[in-house]
Amino acid sequence: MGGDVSEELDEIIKEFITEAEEILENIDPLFVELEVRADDKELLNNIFRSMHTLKGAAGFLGFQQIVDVAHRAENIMKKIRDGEIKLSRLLIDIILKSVDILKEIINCIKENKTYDNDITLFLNEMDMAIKGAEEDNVTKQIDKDDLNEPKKEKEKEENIVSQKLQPIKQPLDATPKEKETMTNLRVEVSKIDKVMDLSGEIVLIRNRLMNLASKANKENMQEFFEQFSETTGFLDRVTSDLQLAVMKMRMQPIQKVFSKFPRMVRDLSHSLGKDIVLEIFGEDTEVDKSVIENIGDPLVHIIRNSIDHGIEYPEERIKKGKPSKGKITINAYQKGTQIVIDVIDDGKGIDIDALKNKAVSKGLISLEESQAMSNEEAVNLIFLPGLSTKDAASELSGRGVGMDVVRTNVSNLNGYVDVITSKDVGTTFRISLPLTIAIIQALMVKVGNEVYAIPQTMIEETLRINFSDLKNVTGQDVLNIRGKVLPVYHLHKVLNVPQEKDFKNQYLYVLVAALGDKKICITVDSLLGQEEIVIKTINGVDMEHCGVLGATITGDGRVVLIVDLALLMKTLNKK
Amino acid sequence: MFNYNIKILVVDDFPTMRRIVKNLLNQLGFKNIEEAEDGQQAYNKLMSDPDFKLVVSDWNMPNMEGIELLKKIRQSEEPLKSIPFLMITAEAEKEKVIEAIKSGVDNYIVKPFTAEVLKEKLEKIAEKKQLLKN
Repeated sequence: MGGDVSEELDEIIKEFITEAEEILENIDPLFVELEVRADDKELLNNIFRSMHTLKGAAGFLGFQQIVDVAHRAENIMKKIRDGEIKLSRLLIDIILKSVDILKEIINCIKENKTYDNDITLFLNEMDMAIKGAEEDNVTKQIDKDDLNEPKKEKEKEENIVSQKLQPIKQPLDATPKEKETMTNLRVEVSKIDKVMDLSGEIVLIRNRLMNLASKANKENMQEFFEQFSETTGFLDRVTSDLQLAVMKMRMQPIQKVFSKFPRMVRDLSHSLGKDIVLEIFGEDTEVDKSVIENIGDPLVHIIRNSIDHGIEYPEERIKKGKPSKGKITINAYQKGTQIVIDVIDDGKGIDIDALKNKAVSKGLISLEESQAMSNEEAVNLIFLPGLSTKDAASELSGRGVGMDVVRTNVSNLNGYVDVITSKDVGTTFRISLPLTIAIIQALMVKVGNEVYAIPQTMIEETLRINFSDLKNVTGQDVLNIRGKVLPVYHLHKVLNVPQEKDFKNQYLYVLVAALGDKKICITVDSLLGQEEIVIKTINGVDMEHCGVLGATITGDGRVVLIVDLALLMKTLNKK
Repeated sequence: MFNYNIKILVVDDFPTMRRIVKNLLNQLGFKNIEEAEDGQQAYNKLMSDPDFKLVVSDWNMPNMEGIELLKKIRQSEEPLKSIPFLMITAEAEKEKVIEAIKSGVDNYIVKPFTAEVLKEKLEKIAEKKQLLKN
């Protein structure tokens, strides 16, 4: 029984962490709303209840630090709700800080560490804030002993119910053994039921196939094949459905990511003296778990960029005849098999000429290159590492990370970013992501005797050219496509694949690949077609640097490597 | 001394808390436990299933608070009217507890509590009401 109890406790702690994180994430946006509607009782009550809930459960699990912080925050919220003290900027800051500290403590629990920071200072700060707020509110009579020393209050509770309060003892040493086991996913029961249903059907098909196999003999071949092909057709449908259902289990509303933005926009715009309102649409849009985990950073960079460089100061906006309040809109939606996230600001737009000059002066592109660039191409310069359009690094962007992170992270998710900008109207960053990253559209190509899969997201077009179309400029093969000269690399040379001896094709097949503003051509022996492939990781290989994204098994049972085009292009460009 | 087969309804809006309370009841030997997320859901469950013999409810919940649930139960028809009701509360302020007693709560318990304390409370309820006994 003892083992069961501690295992059960592990589970409870895990569940607590997941839910506590959710509760805390939901508090931030409530506060931003509270600044607009300060007297909304329901809002105040929501925050109060969140803290109350946290305190209660943490008490059972023996997380005293959480109890201490949440208790005070709850106390403040209760007094504001009941009109005993007035909501002030100071109190909001204190509660937001307590949310941050609670998040840190929970993170420590999650990582199986003890939270070492001394919270007594902050607890004092909270007590002082309550006291100060009460003194401001002279009209009300309040029992101060009760507030300033929560311990006394606790004793009172104990007296009334005449019992000893003793939290469960095990929790702290019974925290889970491994960090990985902490990644939990909350899934709607209906989605799991769907998977159950479909696996049930697969069992039925298996039974049918086994039955068929046992009855097959030479005499009934004709009948056997008919039934066999009927059953495989059925299997095909059910597995596709099952794959979709499992994929959907991993899908979660993108709200998880969006919920931290209201506070971020509030804090950043305040610190810059800008007035910005944030509107969010489509937060119910469901995306893959991996997207939830990886899209936060790029979005933060884009939003920061919009606040910092996009939206003008109120005076400037009024001069231009715009409303003094700037607006950032985040919109998530599904478009076909893609998820699109738009971040739209109504700021001054990106100054393309300044961008070009900057890139030239930093030596990132040549003057000729910059002159040949169209506006659409030039705007993508913003994603080049080491480029910032503002000369003085501002408070926000001086953090050593730039917009290049956006493109890298998004392409890691097999997606891409578009920038649409218009002077004094604003800028839209559009992130397009595949619905799932486990299944991708790939181009199957042949090089020598080998077949490779190339993710289609980076391929702009495919061409068939004559050998004579290739030109050689100082040892580098180049190809002129509609007036643009692009470097050509031969995949068999890049990957060191021997070409068949008598290989003499009249034609060359060329893939035009784009990474950011760089384009290159890659030649292959032949194009086999397009296929939906499932990415499998290869164990025991350093996947980050080997130039291969993974492997897949094609319909005919062949194992095919998936080429990591992004990495390939980076290494080729360096040469 | 308890009838460990009785059906118990645990009411709390926080899943972790429901699990903790369920776990404590399990430790005492109770096996037949159901959950509800708030007072409204609990009331609906109780109305549609007369087998419940005990309610263990939190006070603070959205939609319908524990105290409202208690009041609604006490205003309903028998046998639900006199179902044993244990209130879980973190704020044992006098007026609140008095309100609960006036509304007919059988006992109350302050968070956090241990299995032993829970057992004591249930024993006290069992003395008053025969329903929990074998």
